[in-house]
Amino acid sequence: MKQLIEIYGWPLTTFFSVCVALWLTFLIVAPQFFMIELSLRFEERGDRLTKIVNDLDVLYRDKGTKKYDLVNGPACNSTGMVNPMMTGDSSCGEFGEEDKLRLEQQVHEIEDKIQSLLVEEQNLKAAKAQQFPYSARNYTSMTGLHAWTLTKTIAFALIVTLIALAVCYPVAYALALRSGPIKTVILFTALFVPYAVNELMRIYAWLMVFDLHGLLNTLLDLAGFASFARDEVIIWYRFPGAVLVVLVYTYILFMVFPIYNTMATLDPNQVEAARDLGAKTWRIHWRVIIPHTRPGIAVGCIMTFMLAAGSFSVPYIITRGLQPKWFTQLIYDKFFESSNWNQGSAYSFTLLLICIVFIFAVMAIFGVKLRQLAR
Amino acid sequence: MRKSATLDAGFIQSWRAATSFRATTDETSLHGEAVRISWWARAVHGKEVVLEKVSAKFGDFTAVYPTDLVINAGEFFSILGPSGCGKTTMLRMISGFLSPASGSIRIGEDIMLGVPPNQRPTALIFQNLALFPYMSVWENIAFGLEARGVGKAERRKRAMELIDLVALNGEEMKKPDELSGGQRQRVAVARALAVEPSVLLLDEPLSALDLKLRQHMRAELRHIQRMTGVTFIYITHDQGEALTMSDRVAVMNHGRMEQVDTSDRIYDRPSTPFVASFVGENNILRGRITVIEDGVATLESELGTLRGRAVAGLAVGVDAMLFVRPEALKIGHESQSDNRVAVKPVRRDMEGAYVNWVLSTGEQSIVAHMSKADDAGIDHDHSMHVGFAAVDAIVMASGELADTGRQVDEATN
Amino acid sequence: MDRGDALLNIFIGMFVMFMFLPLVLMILAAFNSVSPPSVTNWQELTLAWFPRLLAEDRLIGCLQNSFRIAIFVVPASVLLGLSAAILLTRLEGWATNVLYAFLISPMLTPGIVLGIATIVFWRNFSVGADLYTTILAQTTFIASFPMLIIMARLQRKNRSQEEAALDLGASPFFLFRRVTFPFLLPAILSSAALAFLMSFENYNTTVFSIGGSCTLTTEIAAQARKAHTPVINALGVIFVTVTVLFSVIYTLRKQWEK
Repeated sequence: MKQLIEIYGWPLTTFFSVCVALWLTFLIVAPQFFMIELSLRFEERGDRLTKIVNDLDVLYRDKGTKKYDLVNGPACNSTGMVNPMMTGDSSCGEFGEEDKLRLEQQVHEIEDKIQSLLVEEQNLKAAKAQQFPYSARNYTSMTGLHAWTLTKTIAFALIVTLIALAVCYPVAYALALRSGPIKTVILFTALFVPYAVNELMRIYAWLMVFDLHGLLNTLLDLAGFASFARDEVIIWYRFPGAVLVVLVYTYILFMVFPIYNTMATLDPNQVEAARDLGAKTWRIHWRVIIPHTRPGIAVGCIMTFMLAAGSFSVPYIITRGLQPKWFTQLIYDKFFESSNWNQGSAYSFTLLLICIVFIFAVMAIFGVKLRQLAR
Repeated sequence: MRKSATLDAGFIQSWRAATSFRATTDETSLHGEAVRISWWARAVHGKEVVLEKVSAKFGDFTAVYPTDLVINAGEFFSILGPSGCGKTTMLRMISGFLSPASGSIRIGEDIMLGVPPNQRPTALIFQNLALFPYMSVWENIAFGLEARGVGKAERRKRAMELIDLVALNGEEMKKPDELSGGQRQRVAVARALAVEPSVLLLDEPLSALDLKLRQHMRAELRHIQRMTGVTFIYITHDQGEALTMSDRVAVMNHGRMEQVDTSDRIYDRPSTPFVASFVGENNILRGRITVIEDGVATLESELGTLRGRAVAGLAVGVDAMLFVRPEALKIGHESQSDNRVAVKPVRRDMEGAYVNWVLSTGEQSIVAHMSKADDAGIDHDHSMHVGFAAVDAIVMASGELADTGRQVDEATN
Repeated sequence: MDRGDALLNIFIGMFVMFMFLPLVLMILAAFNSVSPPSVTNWQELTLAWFPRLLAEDRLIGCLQNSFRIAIFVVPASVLLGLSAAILLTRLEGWATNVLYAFLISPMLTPGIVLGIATIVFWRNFSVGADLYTTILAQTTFIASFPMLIIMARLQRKNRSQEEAALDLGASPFFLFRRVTFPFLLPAILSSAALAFLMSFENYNTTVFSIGGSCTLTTEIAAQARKAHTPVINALGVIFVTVTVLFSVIYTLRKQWEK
């Protein structure tokens, strides 16, 4: 800190510190904290207290209407008919004494009910306030189906990560160590253009392949395995494989670039030297290139897994509701369909925890430190 | 070669202009050139730097032990030592980038405690020069003036004068990365001088240059220092640089000043085993002191009785080292020196100006430098004697030596 | 060795095809009159889908929202990233490592979690999900990227440049304006461009934090899931053209500078 002030002076140092403090507090730490806090509050749905609150609402409304009627007389409608609820032949203007009494009687009854419910509500609230507000019930109440969805999502994300790694390692190798200028330009274009275009466009483009009249069905039709004429076509959106392919395509850059960046720092002479000393190709990879590229591989795996497991866009667009939902879709539904934010937060935090565990696992496997990760 | 010679000539010419002005009074301002640098020559004058019990610590590690040092005004002072000896720490404390753990630093009349680097009368030339890459040469040089709020026209005028001074005319619009190493060096010097410092601190600024250029720049730096009278404090691990340029040299090791002396005395009269082994080549013969008489110590060694000048404080009975320079050794059967050692020749290396003989006593090897004339009479195949005069040898109590691997390589570095 | 290289070349060829194929199909389908878009079911060459784009009021409104969000996200992210980068390069000790871990954590957090955390937090202050919350949620993680880019540049620079300026008498403000900022400018510009791209293409964080509003990406997603028309393809063609144009200009400028 002393050094900072010496170089930048205290006004600038304060300014930078405040910016970082704001970012850290209001954008990173506090939101996560509140999300976790919310996930630990279980919201009873359909218990006595909820019912009382609902009943009270109804009763207050009733009481209000009746009191209004008492003051203003029975309501008239345009045809001059007396409110059907009201008996008696009096005009719109007045109630009969009898009606008034009955109404007053009813109001009293409602008030009594309200009173007793209020007391009960207060007691229940007091009891609830004394209870410890936090529990893990939002987590433990996850249904078997949802737990299965979560497991499947993680498994898919792992598969996507492995496929991406298998595809990207040779690509990065070609890019970093084995290509002349022309090949490099082509490869970089192939990598950059889809990425600069837009994540959603990348996904959308795959509809041209998977659609009913898309590339795949047409090819099958031409080969005679499917037929548009007899309506014997395959609905590709039903297959989890479609989601896998698009996930790999969508997030592949996050695997290629970390690996390429570390591989490019390898002195090609090391590879030459290994070859000169008689090492076979696989041994060169295993003993020279892969050890050097470890941090890049770790970052690539972490990013790809996190993006695949946390992807909402790909399953949302590609499954089109024809497949069981992904975990991210379940979270979306919790928030915006059943508006159970508490459990939605719990699911969301579960996803985060899994990613954190994955990060530490990968760092342990590859022997990489945090500082090496983001470069 | 020719190019560098003309460059040098131009450079010296502009310095002559500066000298002529400094040597005389304002009347000589009739000389056009002298007028152009008048503001500058009048402004700079060196100040003395006084360190009292200054020490530096990084956590538990003591980088500099409490040190007293007086660097005179207008002196070219070098701090010489191996890497990690604390010399750069010393420099950073003087420039104000580092606060001493204890002690005080005074520059001229002013105590520097708590004074930030931008308010000290010092200018630092960094090891990597730290030129601003996106500014042109003249902007770089004028940076300090810009920081002080000097107007653009005035800034440019002064920068051009300094450019003239360091013989960079015509290069003022270039960016630093379009210049050669030596030119960048001059920009760095001019940039530092532009703020009219009383003390110029140089952190191994020549280490990135190749040998020829380095030697050339040595002369230029020395010249600039003479002309300006600014106090130069020069940090280096290269003894050649320190010895050739400096009025005085401090040899540092492990955070301590081993010896502060003139170049000649550092070489001829080292006061510690470290200095003796770090500066120049030295043969080291070990033994035990038996007699000290009239400043001459006698020591019993495995090679027989040896005699040399005793340093102050040497006592009878202690383990001691005798240091003798290779050029002080004479080879031959009939050498009638105070000291004689029987040796066998191992190797003869032709170094050009002299011949380097590696000899073996059986226990250790000894290096001797022979002039070409003396070398002619040496019989290569038989054992022989080397001898040296007692006045050419120094005896001191055993102590830490500089990394001995360097001794043989020293000449090439 | 030759066989290995041949295999690698075949693999790379297939990879390049894999990367380009969907885009090429999408572009071609934009010029086919068939809706939903298809290449293989070719009817007739047409440019009709491009003018139709202008008639999509909702899409254009959403596009405007995307720009509105980016206008705030880009400067905020660059400012936060710059501040953090300067702090992290100049501070020392274990606390710096902890701070660093916290500040890159949003990059490693699934986007939907960031969106959710943001709306949950701001609901406490009665801020409903809308463009504001999306701006905040996006800034949370986009700021990490400028931080890393600027840090890389700061680390490459030897600190001595700043120290030299200080030594020559520069005041802190002057030093920052004249030495640090110009030095960082290329990194600041490229991180701003990156931040814009990331904000503009973001979907996962946005869809969770935007409430009832829309951006271009949420709108494309909504349409893609339903019966879509080649209008989206036409938009895609525009995107690809702009991208290619910019990269060509960029490459040419780089060449020219050499």
